[in-house]
Amino acid sequence: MNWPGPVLGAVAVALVELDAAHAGQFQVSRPIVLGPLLGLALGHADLGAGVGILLELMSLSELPVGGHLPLNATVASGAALLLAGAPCPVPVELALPVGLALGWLHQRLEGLRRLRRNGLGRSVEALLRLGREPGLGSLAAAELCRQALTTLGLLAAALAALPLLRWGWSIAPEALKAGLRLSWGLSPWLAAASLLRAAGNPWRVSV
Amino acid sequence: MQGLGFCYAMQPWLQKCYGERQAELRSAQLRQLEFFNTQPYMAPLALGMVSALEEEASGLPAAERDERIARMGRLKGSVAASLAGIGDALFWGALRPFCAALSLALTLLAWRLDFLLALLGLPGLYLAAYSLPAFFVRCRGLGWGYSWGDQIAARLAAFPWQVWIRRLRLAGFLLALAVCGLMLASPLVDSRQRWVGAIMLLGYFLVLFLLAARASPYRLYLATCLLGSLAAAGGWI
Repeated sequence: MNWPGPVLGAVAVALVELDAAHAGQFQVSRPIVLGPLLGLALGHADLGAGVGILLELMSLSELPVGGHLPLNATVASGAALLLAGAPCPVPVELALPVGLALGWLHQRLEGLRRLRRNGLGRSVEALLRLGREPGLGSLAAAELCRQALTTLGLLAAALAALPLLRWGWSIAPEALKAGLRLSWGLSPWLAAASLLRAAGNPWRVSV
Repeated sequence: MQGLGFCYAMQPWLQKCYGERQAELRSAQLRQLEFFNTQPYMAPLALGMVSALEEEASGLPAAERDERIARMGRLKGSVAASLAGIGDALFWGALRPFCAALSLALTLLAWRLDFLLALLGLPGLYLAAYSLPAFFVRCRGLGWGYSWGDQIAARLAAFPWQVWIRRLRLAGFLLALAVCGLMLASPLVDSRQRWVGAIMLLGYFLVLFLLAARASPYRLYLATCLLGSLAAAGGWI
């Protein structure tokens, strides 16, 4: 596996992430779809499926309703797989928490982007009142580009930090490594419990 | 939140309705720029409804148009909220867990035949199961909303949404139980791991169920790591 693979993978994740909320919403950004395919592209199909299924089930109960912005599972799964599948990888038990941290960071950055976008409506309104064409298509395209570049920046930073992560792992206390291995080892049962919880009360109709 | 997108989607139709009447076109664009928020797959129903009402309003004399436009605005807001309630419960709350459980259950059964094929078939299974109903609603929703017009509330109320949501949730729950059973019965898991797995599965589920919003799976994952580290430091594992 050469470096172009993970770099192209990061670009692909950045583009696919747009499907999560900004464009299309065809569910190709879901970890259960992205994970196996990205894993296959990186030469680790089983790892990709494992990470994808885990993050899919863990994110099922995080619903994007009422303006709530959940942790970005697409970025979390993509980052974890890129870190665990890169030419100089880190163990998956470290890659997964780092991926979750990046997913959380992306959640925060997207929240700030959405606050900024609130002002776009006023700008468009002002242009319409002046009788000018607001160029909504160009506006949408620009925002999609910014969103993709934000995601790509995060993933590129993660890949650039790989040497630091490998060094950190090499000097980490054995107890911490044992804890991370334990949580990775028990993760299938956590995923199954999350699925049961998300499926939930079959007689409830509200979210 | 979705007002810009709604206005963008309405642009071609508004230009068709108002043609060369630039002042009325601008007014229409401004009112479609207002706050709008609903579940994305149900949004075409609102778009269709508003398209029908805008077309109707564009053909009215000015004196009658203002009242019709005001009514359209009220209807748009209330319909968006109703569609969001239905769509969130149906797609996010019921269909997504159902499709995840279905595709996982089929994959766990199929992997005994060919492991790699089963893993790679998982995304396809999930997308097929989810996209069929989602695309159906998205594609037909625009036509439904347009043909129903201001009768959309009555037409929505006539459809048994709660029945279908309950059925999906029940099916999803049963499939989730099947997934748990298949995991515990897997030949990859020895008897000791089976017991540990069953206990952890039950423990995690109870924590998630009892603590609800305070205990997300992500926090449980990190909590497991922390407790594992402490246990390793104490020499228990």
